[in-house]
Amino acid sequence: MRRRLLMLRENVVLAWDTLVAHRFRSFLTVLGIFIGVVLVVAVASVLNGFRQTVVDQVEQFGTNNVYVYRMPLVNLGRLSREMRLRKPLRLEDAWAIRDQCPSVELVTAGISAPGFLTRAVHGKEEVDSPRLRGVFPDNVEVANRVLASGRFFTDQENEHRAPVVVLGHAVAEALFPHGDPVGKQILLAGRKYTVIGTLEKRKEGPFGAQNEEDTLFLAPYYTVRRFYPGLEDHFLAARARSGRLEQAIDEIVQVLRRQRRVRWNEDDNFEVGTANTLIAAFDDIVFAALAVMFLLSTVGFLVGGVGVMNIMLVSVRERTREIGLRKALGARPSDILGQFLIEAVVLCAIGGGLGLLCAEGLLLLVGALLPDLAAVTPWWARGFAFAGSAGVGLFFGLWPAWKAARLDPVEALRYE
Amino acid sequence: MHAAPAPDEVIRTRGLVRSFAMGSATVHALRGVDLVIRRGEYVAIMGPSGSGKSTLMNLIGCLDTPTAGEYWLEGQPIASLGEAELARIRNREIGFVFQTFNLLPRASALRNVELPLVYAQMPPAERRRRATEALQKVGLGDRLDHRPNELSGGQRQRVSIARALVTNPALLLADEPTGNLDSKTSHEIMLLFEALHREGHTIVVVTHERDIAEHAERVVTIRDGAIASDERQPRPVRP
Ligand SMILES: Nc1ncnc2c1ncn2[C@@H]1O[C@H](COP(=O)(O)OP(=O)(O)O)[C@@H](O)[C@H]1O
Ligand SMILES: [Mg+2]
Repeated sequence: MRRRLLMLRENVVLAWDTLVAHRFRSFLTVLGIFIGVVLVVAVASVLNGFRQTVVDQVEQFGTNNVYVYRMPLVNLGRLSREMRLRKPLRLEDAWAIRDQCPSVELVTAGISAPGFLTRAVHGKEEVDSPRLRGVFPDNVEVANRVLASGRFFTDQENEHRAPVVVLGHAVAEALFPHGDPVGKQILLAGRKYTVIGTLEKRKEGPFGAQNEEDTLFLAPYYTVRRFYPGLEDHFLAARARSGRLEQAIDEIVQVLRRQRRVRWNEDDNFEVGTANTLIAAFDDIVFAALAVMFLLSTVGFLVGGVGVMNIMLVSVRERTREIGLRKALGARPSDILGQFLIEAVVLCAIGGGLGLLCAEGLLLLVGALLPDLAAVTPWWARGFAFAGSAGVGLFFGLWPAWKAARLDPVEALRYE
Repeated sequence: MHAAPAPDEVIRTRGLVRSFAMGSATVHALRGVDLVIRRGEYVAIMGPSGSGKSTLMNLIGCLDTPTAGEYWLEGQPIASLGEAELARIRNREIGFVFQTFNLLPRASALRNVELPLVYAQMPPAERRRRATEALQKVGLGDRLDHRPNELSGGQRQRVSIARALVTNPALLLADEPTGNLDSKTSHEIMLLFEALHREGHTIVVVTHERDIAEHAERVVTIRDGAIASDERQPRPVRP
């Protein structure tokens, strides 16, 4: 074992010397691997950072929440006919969940008013296409909202359809760049509302994107229903009792199937999600992007690998006499095989290592220039980059090394 | 049939034949060589170019395998050995000196001499000590870190001899060791072989030059792949 290690060390030193002696040629050879690694690490880091911000954002709502929608939130490909024909979720569905699901602590419903081609105005400040939501007072609690100033509306205000509004962080800043919005009046799609509170900023999205929650105008549910009587599609959010998320989901699904008259042999005609399923749905997208990237980097690795094989064949040919000499001095075929295999592996590992360094340097630089990108290099990407490049060396170095090991010593020594 | 080789025999060959297929023709480089070399002998193998000297040398050095015939090295039959065992024998029992030196150009003299010890899997410190000793023995104790291109032809051949000696082999084989050297340097190298012979090394030198062969105590002449004469010289001629 000690002797093996000795030989290994010897071969690594030898490989290093050879590569340094031909550094330019060596670098050109591993360019494909280098680029493949930069690609893997950079894309994986950006996607990973992207995913992390999404996770943070989703989890800010609370990990104990169950969301119910008519359509899947994340859908790769077209909606099916069944999905397009689904009937809306009703307010009564929310009450049914509240009354019939023992594992549900709180349930809240809401509607979205169409904001297209309308504006919110205060003085000279404007917000285009405002996103007005009609919600119940307990929405604050279910969605983990934190008030920055003022207060949220009350049940009385909801029942009396009071024209009051709570502003998301971004729209509060946009409409009230100076001074406190609380108590002021705004015009929203032509109707007057009194601002009674503003919300704290929520976590930013990927690439520093504004969190949609920061652009909301929250008004009492019945107020919005009064102004927009035609709205029927609700979104439902329920908070499960602590530690009973799974039971809560089961109960909600059962209640909704009954409410919506789904037959026993039919699939659910609604979507139930949690922070985790949202993240999982998002992960599907991340995974698809990663798969494409892996394919690309594999092409890089293969191109690099063929280059490595070629250069190793050249190296074996150039050093035929050296191989003959080594054999004459007592190198076994396995020693020669090891020497050239290790040379190929070291070559590729250096290419991969440089790619890794380059990618991380690049990410540091980009991170300094664009702090919002929030790229985080995952460990598996580092591992993949390194093991992948060394593996390419091992695989594509095998044949040249085998050829070297099989050389006849006399022929090799006579080689000109 | 044949008795086992006597214990003081380093080399015994019987009916050694080596043929090469050259297209449709066959070149018979060796046509049945019987040769015995004992421990401590200094033998010159002489003959014109193309007579089969190098072919015989490669067989004796276990670099090549005969087409027919038998070969015992140190009493051990070689035919039955696999590649790894042959490598071990080349490493431990045989020291090669080549006409063209065959030094690694980017490695120092010390590193070149260490090379056989690398394959003997000797720890680096001991390797270094032994290689330094071998270089001192051939008079290059002050050239350890020189690369081949920083050395003269004679010095390069000394490095190559140090490399052949460093494993303390049973047999020193030199194929035209002076072929690339001028006559003065050749003479110095031959004096070095004589000194090694006096120390007890078994030496076989291949040459096509009479005055080089005359340094040896026994001259085997080869012609057309067969032994033409085998003469013992009463004592080496010292010009
Ligand atoms: N690998 C080979 N293939 C074909 N012919 C060879 C080979 N090696 C040697 N020969 C032939 O064998 C004969 C003896 O060669 P060699 O032993 O090198 O002679 P010497 O060393 O005495 O000059 C020559 O005719 C040479 O051409
Ligand atoms: Mg010859």
